[in-house]
Amino acid sequence: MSLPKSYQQNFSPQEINFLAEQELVTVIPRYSMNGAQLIGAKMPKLRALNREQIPLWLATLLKKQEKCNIVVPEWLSVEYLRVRYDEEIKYPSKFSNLPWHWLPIAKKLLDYASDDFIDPPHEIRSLLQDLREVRLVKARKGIRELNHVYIQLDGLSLMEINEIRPFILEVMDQLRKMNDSLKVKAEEEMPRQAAAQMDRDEDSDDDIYQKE
Amino acid sequence: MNFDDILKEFEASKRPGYNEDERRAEDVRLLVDAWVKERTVPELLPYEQELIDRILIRIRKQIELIEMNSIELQTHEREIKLRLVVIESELDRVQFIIRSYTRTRLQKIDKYSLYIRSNDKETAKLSNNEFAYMERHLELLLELYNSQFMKNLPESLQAIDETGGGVSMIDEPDLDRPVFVQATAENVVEVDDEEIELTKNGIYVVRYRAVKDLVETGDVRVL
Repeated sequence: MSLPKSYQQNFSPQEINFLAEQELVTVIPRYSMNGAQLIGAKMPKLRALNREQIPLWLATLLKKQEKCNIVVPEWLSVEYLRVRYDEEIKYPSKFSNLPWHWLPIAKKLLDYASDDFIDPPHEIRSLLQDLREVRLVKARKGIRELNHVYIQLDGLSLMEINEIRPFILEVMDQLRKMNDSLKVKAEEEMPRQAAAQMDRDEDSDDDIYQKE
Repeated sequence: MNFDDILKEFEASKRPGYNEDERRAEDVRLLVDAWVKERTVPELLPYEQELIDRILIRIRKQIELIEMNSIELQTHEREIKLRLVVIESELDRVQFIIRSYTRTRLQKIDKYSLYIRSNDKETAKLSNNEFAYMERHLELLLELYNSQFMKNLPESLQAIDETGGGVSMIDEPDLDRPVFVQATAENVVEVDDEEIELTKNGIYVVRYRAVKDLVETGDVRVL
């Protein structure tokens, strides 16, 4: 089979990671380096200590070789995450606004650039875990709202969407099919009911005649 | 150079496609989009011929570059080595998307061969290679069916594209499958006589048929 069933209409977590690695991050090069012509956006010429925006995959590659430091994005701070966590608790029916790829980016930076964090990485880790759990519970509660027409899920990130996608798609599809078959049944019964109605009308007419 | 020229040049430089590097960046973005779209929607989408052609040429050039440089590598210093690692990593990434894009399409082509062949609009979505593949694949499949069991069946039961009797033997993409979308503009779509207001940046799960046109115009993007 050219594409396994679990990959149809869905992505693997690794593929979501892959998409997250296309996102840009800021780095501070430790050495100067020539750029390179690439298939996509070219790698810029790097000058020592001059900030430059490059894709995450390239940043981690250079980081592994100890060629640069990564500027950890503002949202990966204890203060920011704590505010988001409080929001999650305060508004039980809403997802707080986190970056589209917050999970994979946070994981990648914690794994490869934990020395670049300003706040202690273990605190960030535990906050991320709290956020993840509270949002997971919400997403699961939201499943109760599933219907055959549509569902709105503002604020979920791509990784979170991908996790619940197979379940939601299947349930909505089944609900839709059940609903459609109800409709077909109703349409089939309509003429019969109408006919029954007419019969009754005639009967009552008869009654009148009889009374006369 | 007068003021108008300067203005014109400024505007041209903002247009995508003006600058070769921007165009390359844009092409990879488009490729990623095409891949995500093909993976998430139930139907086969038109083949991105020009985009893929452009990228394949660039891939070939990168491979040549790597081969040329790795021969002389022993004498060169480490900087080139790192550059080659970067070039190779990116090459791998782009090739991965192209492969996955192709596999996704082949899976749909296998599944919907009979439907695609019966419909000119669908056939037009295939590249020449894909069309040749589909024909050959179907031919082999029929040969196999015939030699294994079909020849033993009564002739009236040998058809593989019967549509009578309320059940069609031709698999068609189910456009009513739900998809995850994000609205990039405000719109109203109708599902089962219910109106759904799509607000900008909102994330929805709706059946593909309801947003199909908006996916084409780019007013919603599939996730």
